[in-house]
Amino acid sequence: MIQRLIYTFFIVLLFHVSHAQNVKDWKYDALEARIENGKDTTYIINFWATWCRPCVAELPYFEALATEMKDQKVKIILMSVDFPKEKESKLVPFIIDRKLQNEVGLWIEMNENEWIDKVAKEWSGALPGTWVRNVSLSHRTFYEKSFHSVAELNAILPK
Amino acid sequence: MFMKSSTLLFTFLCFLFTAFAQETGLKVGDKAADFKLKNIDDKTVSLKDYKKEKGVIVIFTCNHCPYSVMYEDRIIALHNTYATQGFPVLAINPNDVATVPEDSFDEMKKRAKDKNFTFRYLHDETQATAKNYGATRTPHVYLLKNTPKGFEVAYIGAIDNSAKDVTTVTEKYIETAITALQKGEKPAVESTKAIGCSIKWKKTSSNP
Repeated sequence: MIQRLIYTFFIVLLFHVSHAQNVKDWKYDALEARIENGKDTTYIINFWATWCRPCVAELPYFEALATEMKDQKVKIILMSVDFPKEKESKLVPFIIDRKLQNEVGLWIEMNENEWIDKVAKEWSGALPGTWVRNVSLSHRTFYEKSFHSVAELNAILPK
Repeated sequence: MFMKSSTLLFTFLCFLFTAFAQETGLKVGDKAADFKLKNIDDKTVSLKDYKKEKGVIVIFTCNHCPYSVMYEDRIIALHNTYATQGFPVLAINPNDVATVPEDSFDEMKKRAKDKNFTFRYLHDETQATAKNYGATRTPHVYLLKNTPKGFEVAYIGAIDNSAKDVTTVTEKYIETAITALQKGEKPAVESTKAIGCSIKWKKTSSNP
């Protein structure tokens, strides 16, 4: 009985750890390098947080867009600006609870006054914010707003 | 034909107006717009009430936003340090109560009592002040300096450069800006950016 409990405990622990490892930490340069390498792939980087209500409200549209675009060169990254120390306690459980299919990253750049401008001069820093990039098309747009449908998200993809 | 072109012109003007309306908001050097808003003690407060001060630290903030909460103690400390030097804090909550019930006037009173706010905490019920100032997020600071012509915007942005961890702050923007103003100088850093909760605007047809 005790052996079984211990066994279950380790399985749960393993499951937990493997999920936690799926959320990669990101800084600006690494993200930029990935977008550059993606060439003709359109990246949609959504800056959000588990505590940001309008962000959480629009997540289903990003999930639906990913399903719609699964055969296209479109990559969505849900970039969380949650507190790094709450990665395991809040972010990972949230991802599991909401069954998020899109890749989730944790943004760990600290100096907001520097990195917000690097992403987009026109962004004030209010959440949510959505960044659209396509290197081949030299496409770079930023939306400081909430989205209310998949159609609205579709419209921001470079044509 | 005339009707058609005038309709077109009207549409165009409306478009222009909307485009510019989104761009409005105060910039550093602008005269600070006055306002009359209700304080948590139920008295109306206006910027004119501060005419004897050297400046005012106007902070758009609220109860519910974690970024505002993270800065609460730092906002209290700012007021405790600078009110006696002629730069009091004036906090303004601009959020739509229908969207965020925790940001209601009653909840503001409770929060101020729980945290012993020593500064005024005003309710921007119509959101006109936040719109006039061009605030987009909480917290969003407008440091005003008093001049013979009235209050002028001296700095717009964040309180410091490390919201999430007070121990890693390397630049205290507001304190540095006030020090400059006290010397009769312009702040070296006049505007900064920071992550924050978007201001929850009232729902309209153009803002569903």
